[in-house]
Amino acid sequence: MSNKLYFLLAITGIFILYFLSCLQQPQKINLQELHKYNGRKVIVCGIIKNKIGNLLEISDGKARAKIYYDGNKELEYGDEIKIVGKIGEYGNDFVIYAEEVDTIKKWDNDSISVAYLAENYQEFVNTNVNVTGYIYSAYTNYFYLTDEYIEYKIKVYTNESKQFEKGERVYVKALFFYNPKSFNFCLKLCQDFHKVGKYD
Amino acid sequence: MIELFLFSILGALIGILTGLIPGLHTNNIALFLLLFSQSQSINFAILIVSASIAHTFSNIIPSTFVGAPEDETALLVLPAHSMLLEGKGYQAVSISAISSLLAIAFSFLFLLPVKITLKDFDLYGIIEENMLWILICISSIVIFTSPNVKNSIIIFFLAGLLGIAIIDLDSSFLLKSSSIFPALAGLFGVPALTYSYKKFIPKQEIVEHKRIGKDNILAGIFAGGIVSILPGVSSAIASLLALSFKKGEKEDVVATLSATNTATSFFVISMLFIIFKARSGYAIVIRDFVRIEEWEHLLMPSLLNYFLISIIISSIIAYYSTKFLGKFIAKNISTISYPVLLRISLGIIIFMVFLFNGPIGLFILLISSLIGILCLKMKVRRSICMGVLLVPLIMSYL
Repeated sequence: MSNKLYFLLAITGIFILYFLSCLQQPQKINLQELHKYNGRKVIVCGIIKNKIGNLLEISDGKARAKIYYDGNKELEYGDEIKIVGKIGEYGNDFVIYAEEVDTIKKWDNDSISVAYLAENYQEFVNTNVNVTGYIYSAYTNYFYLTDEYIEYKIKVYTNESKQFEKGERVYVKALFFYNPKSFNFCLKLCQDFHKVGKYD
Repeated sequence: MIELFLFSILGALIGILTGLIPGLHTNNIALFLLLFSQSQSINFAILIVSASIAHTFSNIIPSTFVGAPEDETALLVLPAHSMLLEGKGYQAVSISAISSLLAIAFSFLFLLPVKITLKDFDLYGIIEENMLWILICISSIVIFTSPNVKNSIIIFFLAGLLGIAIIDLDSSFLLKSSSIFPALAGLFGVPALTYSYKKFIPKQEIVEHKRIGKDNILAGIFAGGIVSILPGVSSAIASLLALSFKKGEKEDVVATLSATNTATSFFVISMLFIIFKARSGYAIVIRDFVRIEEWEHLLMPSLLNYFLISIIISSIIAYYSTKFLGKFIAKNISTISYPVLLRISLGIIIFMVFLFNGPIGLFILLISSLIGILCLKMKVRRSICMGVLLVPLIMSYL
């Protein structure tokens, strides 16, 4: 075989490999495995726990990861998202430089009970939640939300001027917040999209 | 203390075994161990440290006797296998083993000065900032010091295009593996085996190595040290860097490259403590097993002390084992006809590529073999094919 033929065959093969590489779907991995895929394009899923500028922090319940993404204005705490991006290093950590971010589930799609929130609090700390419960007692600027058996109680800070009656079934879309100074958890309505609604 | 010895010995044996199998790397073993140990364990970390060092001793054996390269031994295959065909296969193994052992000894001596230079004088920052230029310099030296510059440029960029095409291609099959393995096997291993003019392997002289030049070891340590600092830069690049400083006879090349390979492993482990970064898959796994303490003052962290003891034990075991295995194979290999050996070697390479990388890996092997054979036909130095690693790396820094 002449050198030209070797060259042409090699170039053709390289193009085929490059084409295969482009077609190949990135692998879906867990957040614990980022270090194994450094430099590679991957797919990860997780719930947004933190958001500072272009940096998101997500968790899948077992591990956390930082995501660098330009278009995160519509993403909120508690949203479950799918990220396609390349893993790189930033300081001592691995970061995913996101090319695409899709929302799998908005934080307020499903409502959870007060009991579920209480027993799985680690999953929801510092995220937006949509909680259904009953009014235990109501005051100016805050009320207590409880479950149907009055086993759990959580304080809800609100600026809303709605009047609630004891025993009313409501849903609360708020930030599930841990106050380290007083060692307690509460729900805070601190964004425009936070609200309290009554069930008919 | 007994556990330290036991796990060091076990690690050394595992490392010797992985070194004998082309395509199997300490990274694979480290990830495999991670599945079995969910809790922190210094013993597993010591096992991995020990295995990673022993691996760099025994991987000369498949390079010399089979001609099957890995990432670290891609450039080593050429002189080592060539020495086999001159009846000096055992000498190549012996030179490699003593060079690796000397690299460990000298690396110990340089450890504290390296730590001071990197941290107190921020050499790490300077090298990282200028890495692009360092890589471009290495590439330029490799291309422009070859006899046929025009052909060298063609092959360098062809190999580079191959590297770019496969860098994001996941070709893992039965075991997790990088696409680089079949690429290097095709560029360096297959052409050497298919284009050999020898009809038989001469009887091997079982003579011990001649005196090893200190400068070979120092070139290897210097290259291995630089490369262990930088992300994405493998010991194959370290080999190329070392050869830029120190050329010479085949024996000198074997010594330099073996020292580079072992020194890279040594400093990758040390860098966990010095710059607090993991520069290899197994280093990342070690970080998962134990809590690494940054080496800030003059006294070493106690964990680094344990690792260094483990390295000493592993090096001694690996040195004698490599020489023993090398002697055994050298005494018996000339009873096999060379064409048969070539077929066996090719068969091993194809089998390992298929095992690790499947059908896509075989295709990569085919294309890279075409480039490797073209390199031979155009009478270009084979180290030019390192463009497969250099070009994607340069692109990543741009």
